Amino acid sequence: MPSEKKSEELASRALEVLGRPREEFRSTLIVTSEELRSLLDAGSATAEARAARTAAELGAFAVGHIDIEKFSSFQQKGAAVPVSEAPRLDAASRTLRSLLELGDDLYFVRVSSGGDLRDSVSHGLGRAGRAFGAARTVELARSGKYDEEVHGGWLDSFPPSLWNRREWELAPPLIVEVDGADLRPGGLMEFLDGNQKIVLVVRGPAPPAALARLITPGVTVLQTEDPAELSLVAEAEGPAIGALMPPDSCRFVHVPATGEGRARLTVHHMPDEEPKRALGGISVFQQADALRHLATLAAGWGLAAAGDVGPSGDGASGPAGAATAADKLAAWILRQADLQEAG
Amino acid sequence: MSHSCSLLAPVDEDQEFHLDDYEGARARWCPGCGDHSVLTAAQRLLVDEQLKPEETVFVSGIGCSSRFPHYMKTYGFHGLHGRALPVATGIKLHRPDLNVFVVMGDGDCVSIGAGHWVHATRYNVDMVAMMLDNNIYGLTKMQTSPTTPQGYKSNTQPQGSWLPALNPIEATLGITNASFVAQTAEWIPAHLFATLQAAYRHNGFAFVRVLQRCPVFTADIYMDAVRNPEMIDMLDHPDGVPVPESLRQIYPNHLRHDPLNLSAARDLAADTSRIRLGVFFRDEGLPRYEETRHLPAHTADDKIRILNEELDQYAV
Amino acid sequence: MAEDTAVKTREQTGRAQVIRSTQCTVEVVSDSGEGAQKCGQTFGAVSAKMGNGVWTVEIIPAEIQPPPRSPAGASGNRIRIGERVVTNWGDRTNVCIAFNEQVLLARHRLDAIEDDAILLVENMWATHSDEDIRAEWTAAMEELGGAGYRIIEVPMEQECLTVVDNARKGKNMFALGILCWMFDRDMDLTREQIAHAFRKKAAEITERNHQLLELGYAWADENLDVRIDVRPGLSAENTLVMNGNQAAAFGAVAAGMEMAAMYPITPATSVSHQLGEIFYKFGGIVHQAEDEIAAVGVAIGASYSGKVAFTITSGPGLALKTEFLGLSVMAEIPLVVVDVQRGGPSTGLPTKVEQSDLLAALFGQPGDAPHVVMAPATIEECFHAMITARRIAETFRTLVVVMTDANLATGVQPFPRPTLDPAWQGSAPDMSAIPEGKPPYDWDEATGLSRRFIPGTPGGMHTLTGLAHDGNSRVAYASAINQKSSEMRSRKMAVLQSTLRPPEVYGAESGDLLVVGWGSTKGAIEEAVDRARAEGVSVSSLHLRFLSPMEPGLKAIFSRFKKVMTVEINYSDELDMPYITEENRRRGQLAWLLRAQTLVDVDCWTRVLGEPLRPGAIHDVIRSNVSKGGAA
Repeated sequence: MPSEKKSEELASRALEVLGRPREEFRSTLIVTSEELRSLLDAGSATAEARAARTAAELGAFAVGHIDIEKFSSFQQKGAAVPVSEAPRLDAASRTLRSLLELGDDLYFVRVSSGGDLRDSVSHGLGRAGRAFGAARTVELARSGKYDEEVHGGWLDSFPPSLWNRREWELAPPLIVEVDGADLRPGGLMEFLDGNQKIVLVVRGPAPPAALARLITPGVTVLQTEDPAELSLVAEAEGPAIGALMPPDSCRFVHVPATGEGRARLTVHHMPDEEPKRALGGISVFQQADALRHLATLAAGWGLAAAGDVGPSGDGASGPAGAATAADKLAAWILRQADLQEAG
Repeated sequence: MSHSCSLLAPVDEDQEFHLDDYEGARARWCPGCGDHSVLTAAQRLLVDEQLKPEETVFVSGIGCSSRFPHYMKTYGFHGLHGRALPVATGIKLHRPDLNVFVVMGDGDCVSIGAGHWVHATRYNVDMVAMMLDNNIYGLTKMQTSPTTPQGYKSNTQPQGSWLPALNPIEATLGITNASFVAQTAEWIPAHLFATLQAAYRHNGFAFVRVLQRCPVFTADIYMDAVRNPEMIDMLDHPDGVPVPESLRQIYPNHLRHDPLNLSAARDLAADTSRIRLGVFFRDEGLPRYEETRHLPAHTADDKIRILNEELDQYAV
Repeated sequence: MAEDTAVKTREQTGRAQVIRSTQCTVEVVSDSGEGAQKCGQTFGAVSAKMGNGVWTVEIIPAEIQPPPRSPAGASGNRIRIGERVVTNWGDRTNVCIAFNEQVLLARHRLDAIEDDAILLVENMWATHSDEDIRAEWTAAMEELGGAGYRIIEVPMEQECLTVVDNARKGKNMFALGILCWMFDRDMDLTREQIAHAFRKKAAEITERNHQLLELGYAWADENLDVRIDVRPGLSAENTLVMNGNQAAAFGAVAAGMEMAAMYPITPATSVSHQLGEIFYKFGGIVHQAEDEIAAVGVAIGASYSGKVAFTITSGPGLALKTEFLGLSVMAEIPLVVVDVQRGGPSTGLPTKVEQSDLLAALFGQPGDAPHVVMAPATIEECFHAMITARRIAETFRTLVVVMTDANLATGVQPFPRPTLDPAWQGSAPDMSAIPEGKPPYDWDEATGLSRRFIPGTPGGMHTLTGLAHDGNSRVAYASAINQKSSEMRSRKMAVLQSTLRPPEVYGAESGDLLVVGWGSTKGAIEEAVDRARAEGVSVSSLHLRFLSPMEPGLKAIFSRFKKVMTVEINYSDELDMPYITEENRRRGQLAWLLRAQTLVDVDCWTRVLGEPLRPGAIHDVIRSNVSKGGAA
């Protein structure tokens, strides 16, 4: 299907733009995995195995010059891991390696048509979150606090509801393909924490201002049609969500305040058409209400789009485009006022 | 180097830290020494920002102020005279996940370590660099420092300092890629705290000169300024350090100064007829060296694979 | 070829006389910028690929831009090839190809040329429009002519101009063509090697160089009547060819290090050039610091916070780093320092080899600063030593100085390709929570070893200090504490020494003379020992890799020889010099050390000629010392 192909293409563009957060998560996986490998090497080995390991680590220059067995008897013993816990550490190590082997697939989820966006995101993050689960398993095992009852499933899924502050800071980025008709982002609020980056690649008609509901002071929120603009999400400090929207959706960006005189909400485009049809279970009212919300926020901050340049330095909409957006926004606000009077 | 840290860390992540979590050995500076006040401000900052003690490193050189790390309960590196900045740079290049604070004296920073001060400013590695400036060598008992006022008598220059004092703020503002340059005074704790907080929150190398009284050797230098707030101009701007509410009345002279305005900053710094406190310059858009040099991590096996490819070029 | 270095036979095939030899030394010399080095390197690489033993050294002018046609400007390459492995640069040159007579004269005056050598020299200067140049030519040829060399004039310029407009840029490949004909090199390999050398340039450049190569080859075929046959007797399979600085750079990568902090200094800098090309692919940073002090400071900061880091320097830089090196010892921060030695003191001979930093490396840090000093002896060992150095630094929380020199740094030699092992990278630093109450210097009473507390490790908060400190890293001036902590730092060296094996003796286990060396002189010493033993002289040698702590068992080994002497590239007085007595004689640095360590009356023979030692010279020393030493 052409649209599917297009969304795949957009998803891979999104992947590209999210290169840095992806690389950071992968690096964290690698460093953790290597540390765990060292722990396993050091912890469970016999004296002979340790000597063999020492010989390997000292390399060829030591041959004939260093008595390896003796040398290995002097090295610092790593933190002792109870022998009984070794299998658990092995399992954690395998989990980390399997995540590494997943490569970029780790950062993708697809919401099947009619599926629940929130659940899919939770599932995707819970999958990458197994890295956190694995690390916690290791920590618990070596401190003797591991409890199968409580921690048993952590290597299979470690959902965001269990993440701590540090884990949120190291959160894996996620790219989500979702039908416009399933775009109910309200449930995503709980995932916008720490350093979480989420990109929604929206297929087919969608509520034009769906993400407006996510605008809160500390979160970067972006709706755009241009994958390159996703760099605003990738480079944002703190949590950020962006959606690649179908044509004639709202295009806006909200960035947490960075100082006086800098725009927080910039609206680049308002749709030409008002929502007329329900999309999936999303009613006309809900769609329009999101638009109203966006307009209210923009008006409330006195930023009627024109002339406001977000930190993006936004080249997508020149002054003319901005002016049009401003006009439309003004018109919108007026219309809403009329509607309310009429009602 | 890769910028990542391992996930392997104890589970108790959401612990709340209090002042005593940051208190190390009892400070042994002289009574009345300005360093006490800086220590308190730093500890308050760590509480406020809830920095993990084990993920925070205070690096210092040698001198009175360089005892600072011993009085914190974080990691500390009390190294060589003048050489705190290279060490801090090395730490941050290898471990950007750590919060790095550097504490130097005036002799440390702008005399023996002057080359490092210039280049650390240019590297713009994300850290807070405090220069505790008491205008004198204290630990070695009163020798002239580069910031000693001209004519001020010391043991090495008993006829009075021969040269005009070096102006660290003006000099730092002249260094390419300087991204945060501020001045505060230890006798104004609210301003000191606000300045350190702005420095900590700044992404890049935050240079803070702290005017600091030495009750033993230079007690008189800042005496007038302490007694007479009229002598001080507070640089005021929301992008810098807004003058704290509690100080607005006491320090009546406020200068509106946009810290993005470098030439205005240089003019303000060059005019030494007034003591100016606040952020002279701040630009988060400048390149940070540890970011520029950021690299992804590799597994041991990956490295072997790449190394073999590289060695192929030298294979016979 | 000198009788004692090579077995040779002559035969006539067709027009050309063929001299068969077990080894041969070739020099290519020119003004700097004329590409003699590329010619020499290519010849060396092709020979290595064909299965010859090879040792290549650069001939480096003293100045960056010496005036053209000046003896001081001689620049180029010296390539020694052999049927078997070649371990050093050899004695004098057998074949020299020169782009002007002045650089040739320079080599002659340096006594670098063998008496019966074949010299090929560009002859455009004989008919040059400048009268002075013509006069210089005549004078030089007269001086050279008196020495008995076989001199062949080559119209390089004239020939090259048939292919290129600027012959200055092409003579090196023409000369390579001549050498390829003389030594019957594999031309396909040579073309490949040229293509590789110019891979970063436009394709036409490679093509033009190929043309010049063929031209030189054809000219030689037509005009020369002597060829030299050094048969390849080695398998070139699984071999790497590189210089010692490159080997050290790759070794650092293989050792898993990720931070090289440095400041440019000859002859160490090229380690960072190599790393600059590749290190980032491994997550490694080459940090070019603002000065030598900052370089070691950054390395120490990085090491302190995780993986062991290293810095690269040479004598003057080592001097600047001493305060930080003391800190690394005092605070027990692992660190690897590579010292690529050059001539000294002061700025000395920046491009030339010397082994004069030994005592500075051991004792240069004011205060008592026990640490490890090791010295690779071959280019191959430059690679492997980095791996061992990192591991020792980590395990013993110590400074490890790896001493190479300009000879290893710039010498190029094939060596067996190592089978890479991920274990070389060591383990990730232990960052598991530190049990409450465990001090940061929890010295094991017997060994002085303790666990390193790395920032980020929970429970390990402490302030590291360069001041005297107790086990808790608290500043402590109490005399007992200083005594104890000094003892702990020193003990680690004894513990490391207890793991070292006594060195192997090269040759018989006892005899008249034992020659002791360290570092890059191994090949030359052992070749000299071989020659002397072949003559029936009772001599053996021993080569040290660990200078601090010193390898064990030396006294016992020394006692089995009538005389022990070191051979080193550093300065020592000789007894026949004015005022010099047994009492005031300043000896070679290793000799100094060995005498102190073993109380054996170790003699020395050392030279600081700004060049590697020649096996022939060492051979002479052995002969004279054995007869002098009253050998039976």
